[in-house]
Amino acid sequence: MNQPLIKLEGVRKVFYTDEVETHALDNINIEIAKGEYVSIAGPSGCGKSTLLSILGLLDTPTDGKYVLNDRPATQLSLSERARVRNREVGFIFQSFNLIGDLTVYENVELPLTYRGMRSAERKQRVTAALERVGMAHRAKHLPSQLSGGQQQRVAVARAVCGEPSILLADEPTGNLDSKNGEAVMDLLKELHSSGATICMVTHDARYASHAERTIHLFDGRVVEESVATSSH
Amino acid sequence: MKYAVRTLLNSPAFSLVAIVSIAIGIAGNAVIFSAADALFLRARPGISDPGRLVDVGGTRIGRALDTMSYPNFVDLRDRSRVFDGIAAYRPVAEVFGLTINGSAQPAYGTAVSGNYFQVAGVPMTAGRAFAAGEDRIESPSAVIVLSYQLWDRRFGADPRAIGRVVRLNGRPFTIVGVAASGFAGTNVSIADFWIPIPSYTALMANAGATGDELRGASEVLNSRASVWLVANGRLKQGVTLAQAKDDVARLGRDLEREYPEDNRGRGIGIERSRPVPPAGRTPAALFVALLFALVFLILLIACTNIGGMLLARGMARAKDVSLRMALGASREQIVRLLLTESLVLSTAGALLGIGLSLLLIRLMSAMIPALPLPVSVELRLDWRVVTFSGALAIVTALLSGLWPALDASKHDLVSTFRTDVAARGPRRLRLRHAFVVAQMALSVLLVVTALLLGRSLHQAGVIDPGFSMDSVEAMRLDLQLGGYSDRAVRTFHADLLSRIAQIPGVQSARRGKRSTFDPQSFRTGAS
Repeated sequence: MNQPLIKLEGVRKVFYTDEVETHALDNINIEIAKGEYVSIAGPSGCGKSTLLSILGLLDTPTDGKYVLNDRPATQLSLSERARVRNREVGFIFQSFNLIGDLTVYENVELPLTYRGMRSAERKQRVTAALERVGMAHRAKHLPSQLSGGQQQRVAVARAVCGEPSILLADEPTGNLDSKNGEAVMDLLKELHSSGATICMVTHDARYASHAERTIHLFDGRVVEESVATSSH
Repeated sequence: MKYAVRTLLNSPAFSLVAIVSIAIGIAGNAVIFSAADALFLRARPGISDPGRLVDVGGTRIGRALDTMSYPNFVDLRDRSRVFDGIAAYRPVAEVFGLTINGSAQPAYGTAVSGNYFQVAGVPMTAGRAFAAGEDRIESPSAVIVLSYQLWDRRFGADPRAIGRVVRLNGRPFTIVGVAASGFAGTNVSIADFWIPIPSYTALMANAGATGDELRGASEVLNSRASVWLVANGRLKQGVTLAQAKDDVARLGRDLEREYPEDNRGRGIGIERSRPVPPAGRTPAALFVALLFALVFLILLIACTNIGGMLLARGMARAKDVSLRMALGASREQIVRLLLTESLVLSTAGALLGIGLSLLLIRLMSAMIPALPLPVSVELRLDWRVVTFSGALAIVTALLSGLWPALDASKHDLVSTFRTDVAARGPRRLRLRHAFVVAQMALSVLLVVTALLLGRSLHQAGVIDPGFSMDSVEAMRLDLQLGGYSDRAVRTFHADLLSRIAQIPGVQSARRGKRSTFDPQSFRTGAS
């Protein structure tokens, strides 16, 4: 394995409510190398999304170590986490999560705006990202004017335009029909081929098999890791 | 900003309600500020370099600036080192009978020292200001300076009016000048004309029918116990208000030491010149403060209303906010974004409010001339009112938007991955409840205040004066305005009362010098 981009050691996540203590993740030890395409699979409620939240710095582990790009990420301040998220992580969500009041162009531009990037450079990157996913001709449209598949392609463009270290995809095909789902998977595969590191959560074995390696979760624990023998 | 505008345009109902709420709050505040501006901030028209003009008057321990005696003014004028000039005047214009070409009409005039126009920096449109010596006690001159407005109204702005003789309360006065257009006095009490102080005292002392008898100056000019004048001083270049205060306070102490019998406990004070006369400042300020409190309460209610709406809107936009934060927006960037929306709303509300206040100001300005007082409070929308409204818009944006923005920026980022983010727990519900409770409390306070004010006004109207006012008719006569002598006045009143008493249905007729509710007027009553 190449040098790990992501390293989790003994990560636990416990949710506390008034009377109940829920162990969402327990003793997770994972490494993801640069350029790797990993899927996280498992049944509903097994902790996949919680794991992705921790990987994406949206949440913090209760215990354990998380190193992202050689940098300990567990003790970062809120503003540091926001900065690292903006520069190191690209998110692709199940429900696309485009902002309805913004055009396609503005949605893709958003993370670059928060980075404080100059307008000319933003324009260059957004245009390139939209061309890459085949949505440049829809730049001025609002999300509501696009199909689900198109919206997810825009979301992919938004995720990649900042050239993050890793793409985190949470059930990226969950709201798409099989044709559009396959198209998005092809897009991810293409991104991976060009060097992107991808970590995808899915409960669908067909899509999990697109990845080089699949980590199986059950009841918050890693129960199996499998490596794909052939590529789709 | 572009995004904020677009977002608000996408929610027209919300935006409209918020903008109108803010507009009402800001309009009320702008109108009251306009009144405060006219009463306390804006210099009266026609005065040159008003920043150097100060009000000077007598003081008593624990009391605001008030009137002073003529001899104390003269000493102050002669001994002070901080003024380019200092002029005395009666702080409130009084009504006189002004006869021009045999036609007598009431007109408001005031007594001033000879250098009044020089100190105020008011040029003459025609003729001249009072000359040196025309206000000497031993030889008062029966001269008069007209306001431009009176000159235009009664003489058709004819320059040949200069040198003509008019009659004030029956006594002849020669017109020597016409003040600059717009100038009607250095405070809100407007004057149609000005006469020298010694001529005024002679006139009010009822000296007689001939001009020569005006020379009989009354004792009031020599009495330090009679406090009836205030003064305008023009500070020398480079002299600060603090230095001037020290100087006049020192003079006040000197005068107290030199004339302890009349000046005990009295000093001399100084304030920046304001449109409201010194003695009226405290009550006027209290009244304006009360009005401000009421209209600010309305604005606060609008703020809590909008705050509640923004909070609800924030709940609806929870997913957007979470997403932005997931994409790397810092909390500051989210707060800034949401505050920008509040600021856009407040700015739009302020613009509408300024328009609304313009209408209200026109309405109120149309009502002021109907007041039976010689005052000019010119309400208008100037840069100060606009600046105040702008500042208020920022305050409104912060008051209504900061809390919801801070709350929205505390989103649970994990919810970004969920589809059911609507439920946000009890903390947010408590915040909404807090807005509702605040809005209710402020509304109740406003209603109670309005009811109390209404009740007080009603009570004032039905207060029992201690005597029956049923079937009482009162009329006002001021025969002095027509130049009647004391003897002629007494004869006239006796004849009038006798004839009124003979009217069927009249039980009695009485004459009084002053009526119960009008301390300044001479009245004759019949019942």
